[in-house]
Amino acid sequence: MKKLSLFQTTIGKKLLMALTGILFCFFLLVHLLNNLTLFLGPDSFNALVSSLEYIKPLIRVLEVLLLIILVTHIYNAFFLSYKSKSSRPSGYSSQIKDSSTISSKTMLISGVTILLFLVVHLGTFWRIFQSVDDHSIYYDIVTKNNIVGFGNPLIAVLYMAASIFIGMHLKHGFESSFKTFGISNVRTKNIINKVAILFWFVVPFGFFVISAWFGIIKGLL
Amino acid sequence: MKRIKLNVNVWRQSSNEDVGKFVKYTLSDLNSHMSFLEMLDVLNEKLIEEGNNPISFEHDCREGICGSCSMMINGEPHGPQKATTACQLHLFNFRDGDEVYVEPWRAKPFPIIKDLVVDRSSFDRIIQSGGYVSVNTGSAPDGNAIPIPQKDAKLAFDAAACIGCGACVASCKNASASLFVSAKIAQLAILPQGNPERKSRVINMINQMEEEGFGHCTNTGNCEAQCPKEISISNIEKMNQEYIKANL
Amino acid sequence: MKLKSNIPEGRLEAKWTKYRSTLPLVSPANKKKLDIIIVGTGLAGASAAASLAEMGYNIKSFCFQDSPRRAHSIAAQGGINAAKNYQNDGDSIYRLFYDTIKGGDYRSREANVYRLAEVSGNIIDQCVAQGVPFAREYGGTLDNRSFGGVQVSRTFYARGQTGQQLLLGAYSALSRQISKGQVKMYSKHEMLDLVVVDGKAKGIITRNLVNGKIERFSANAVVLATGGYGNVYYLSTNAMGSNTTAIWKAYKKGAAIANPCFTQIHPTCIPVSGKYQSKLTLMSESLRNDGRIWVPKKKNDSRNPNEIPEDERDYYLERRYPAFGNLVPRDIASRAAKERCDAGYGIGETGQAVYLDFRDAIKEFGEDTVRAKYGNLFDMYNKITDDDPYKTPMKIYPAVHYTMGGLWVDYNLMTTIPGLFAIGECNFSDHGANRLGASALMQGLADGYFVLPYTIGPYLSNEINSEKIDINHEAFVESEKSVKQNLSNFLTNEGTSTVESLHKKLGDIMWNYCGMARNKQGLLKALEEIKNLKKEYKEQIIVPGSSKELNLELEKAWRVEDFIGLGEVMINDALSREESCGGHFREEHQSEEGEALRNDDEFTFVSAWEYNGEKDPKLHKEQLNYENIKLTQRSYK
Repeated sequence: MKKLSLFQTTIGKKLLMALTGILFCFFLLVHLLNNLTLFLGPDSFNALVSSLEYIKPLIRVLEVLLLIILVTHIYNAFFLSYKSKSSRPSGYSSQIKDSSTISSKTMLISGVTILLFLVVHLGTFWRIFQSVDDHSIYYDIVTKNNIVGFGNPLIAVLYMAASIFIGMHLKHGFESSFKTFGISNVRTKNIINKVAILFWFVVPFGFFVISAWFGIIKGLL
Repeated sequence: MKRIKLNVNVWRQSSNEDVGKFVKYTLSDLNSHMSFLEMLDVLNEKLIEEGNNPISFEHDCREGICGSCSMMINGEPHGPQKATTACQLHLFNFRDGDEVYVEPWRAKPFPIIKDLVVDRSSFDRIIQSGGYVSVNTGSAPDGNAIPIPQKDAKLAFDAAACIGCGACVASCKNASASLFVSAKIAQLAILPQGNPERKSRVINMINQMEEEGFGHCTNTGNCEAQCPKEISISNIEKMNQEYIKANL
Repeated sequence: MKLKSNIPEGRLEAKWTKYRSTLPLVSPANKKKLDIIIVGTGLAGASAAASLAEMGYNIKSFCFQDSPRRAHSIAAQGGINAAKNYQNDGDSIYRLFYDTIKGGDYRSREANVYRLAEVSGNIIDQCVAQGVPFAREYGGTLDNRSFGGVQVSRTFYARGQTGQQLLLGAYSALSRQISKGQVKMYSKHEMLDLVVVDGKAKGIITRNLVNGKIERFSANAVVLATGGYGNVYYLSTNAMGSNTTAIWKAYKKGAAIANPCFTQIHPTCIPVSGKYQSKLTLMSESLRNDGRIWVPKKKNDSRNPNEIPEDERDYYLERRYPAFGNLVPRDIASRAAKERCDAGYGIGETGQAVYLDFRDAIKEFGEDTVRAKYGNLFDMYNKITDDDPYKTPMKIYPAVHYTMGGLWVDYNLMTTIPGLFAIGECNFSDHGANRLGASALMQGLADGYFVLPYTIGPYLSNEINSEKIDINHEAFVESEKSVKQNLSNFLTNEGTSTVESLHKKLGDIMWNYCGMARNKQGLLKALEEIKNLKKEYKEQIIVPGSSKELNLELEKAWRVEDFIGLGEVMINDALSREESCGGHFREEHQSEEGEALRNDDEFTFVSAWEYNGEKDPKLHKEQLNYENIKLTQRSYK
């Protein structure tokens, strides 16, 4: 029998997913901190975005890294989903009771939804930010009612929905990662659970509030 | 003691090649103290007397320890009662007139042989790949030579209590055998006796688990909820840890 | 037939050591050329297969279950005895030997039992090394509990699942040898005949239970490790599949069956609840350490047990046996329960039950302590009966549990057929007329790990030069033909009775006339009834399906046929043994207080029964010589 190397096994592949997932969580945290400057007004936000221009080569490297992380995560997700389908080629004929959480049961659905959202997100904000020369309009692009900005309630709702999906995905994903690493035990479980709240609740909630504030609440005031 | 009536829908499949289907049997006047398997016995007697083929199902000790019995009862391995095998499930857990669905474990590494009987030899092959301590008869030191903290002995026992029935695989949405495999790995990783082969054991057993075609673990915990012996999912975390360490 | 026990000469304490050191050995080069068939993968079979494979023999291992791990040894709850004296309570090899002989009511061989006690310590060491998670003290050393029939604490345990843990240990050792290719494993294969060539066991015929294929296997020796035959009573604590077929086929080919009527009735089982009942569930004997057994002093008392005041309860074991109280040996505890129930003091719907009460233990030690000790047993009881033993006493009644009798074997564990060995419960060797608690696991593993691997040597050392038997040999062909014929007879029979219904009938005969108490009149009646049943079975059974598929009814059909045959021999044995000893209680032979009366002058022998065709079996006697122990009437008062 041929010996499988670490990343050829499902555990190895899960490990890659866990690792990339956690890294992406940290990216989201930084992303959120950036976005929170929106509340400080146009000058702060524009200044922050402009400052990124100075470290553009680094940003590009990070972007490539993020892409690799993302592709690894997605590739393994699809590979493992396919594998589990083939582990049970003919399914049950009666209704199966599954006591696991909704979040854990819907990882594939939430994941694919987030992926679709990501395509829209990159195709709009990210692409437009790349081509803007006037550093004083970043804030307006994000907040005004143009096709892509939160001023457009449809866009705001899209982003709010996406934050919910991200929250759901991370509700299971974050803690699950530590189980996959095998470092979740009786002692560490409490700490992990608490840190997990930051990632599955606080961070997505932050994104949710930003889109809700600039897209809906501000308009109502 | 009560008398109840049940509509039992049993998966009938004459062989692996056959396409199976549910067949409905109505059983009335059942003693509520009867076990689920005894109900199938009663049904089988009736079927034979009527000139039909009885239902094939695995069973042996009928006291919840041999791990033979293996059937999904209303969507749960071994049925609705927690921490109970099908043979120890008694009819007082059902209500009069209940509709009951019984079907075999379903997983590629558990091919169906007939009706509710599946082939679980993949579990044996996983143990053969490394689920042991290599100690020949006669070469053991005195039993008290290596003291083992009571806590560790208990933890090891908790993992070793697995009966190898396959409910974890059956209940897992990915048909993963992680709970079964990890229970053995954890037992032998906790005990000092298992130490010398710790690395090769986890690598070989996981290798075999993959070869057999079981799915991956997504830490959703349904296996733990359905395990008749309440084997903890923390064993899977232990297995992952052992596996990563062994590969470093 | 000659019964030669082959007990080595010399002092009792030195017999085994000296014998083992002078046995002819088989060289490693020759071991490679020798094949051994081992049928059964319980404690004895799995440990023997692993140990012999480690030594270099080629092993073919068979079990009817879908995995060797499911053999019925797995269900043993309480523990395993060993004379380690870890508790410093005066235990020793001699004391374990003495307790076993006495517990067996002086009907076992001194030399065999002493050997068993001698190797008992090694078993614990071996199992610990395999990673068996025995219970430990806080300091990390092995824990012990006490068991019925003894006054020392020598029982090692792993919660209430000791058999499971020991079997998984042996299974893991077996699995290791399978992975090395030293053992070829045949699961879901049942032995349907023994093949004897020139008077020597040379192979077996099996049925592949999945596809129905009849197959032939040859070897230089055949080892049976097929367990007990308690299912002859239909209801027992044995697994549904446990059967007598292998030893019955061996018997028909010339192996004697010894002391078949010595069956153990376990005192603490969950009572029968209805006609549909398929098996009985044992509650570990360890419960008797803290539980008190009683019945109401008033006949047919239907009050809730908690409402019956202390002075209206009859703690009959404590009353009759003050020295041992609730911890008397199994046969005595069982009979005492039957005596009370027969006298009209039984409780529950059927009146066939007594109380096992933990009220006082809970009061004294607290519910948590009791839970820690017996939690899993209480849960099991609750699951089956829907009663909560923490609040209301358990109801228990005796049930068939173990069979001391089995194939007659000599000191080498070889039967009367050269080359055919029998180990574990399927032989008769060590427990006499009654087995002590936690000794079955000890004997199974002793035979498999530490006795047979040596004692098979003398026979095999002569086999090196003998010709390899081809499976196309005439004896194999004949054997296969008769097996196929028998199966086809079942399938083509046009009867109306299911196998199950006739098995129940057999069970009734055996339980009523050859159960906890026997008498001549009843046994004679049973003999007549069983002969009728044999005829009815032949003519009336109906077996659906074909022989080319998984056919559970067909499996039952051949097993029950063999049970009926064995039942007849058991009754003959019970009839001929005109004394009460251990599990065999003849009502004609009891004291005024109802205690068993042995007859040492006339019955200090092993009854070995030889197959005699259609005629009644032939009795041979092996005299038991007690050189070290003085025979006394057992007293636990």
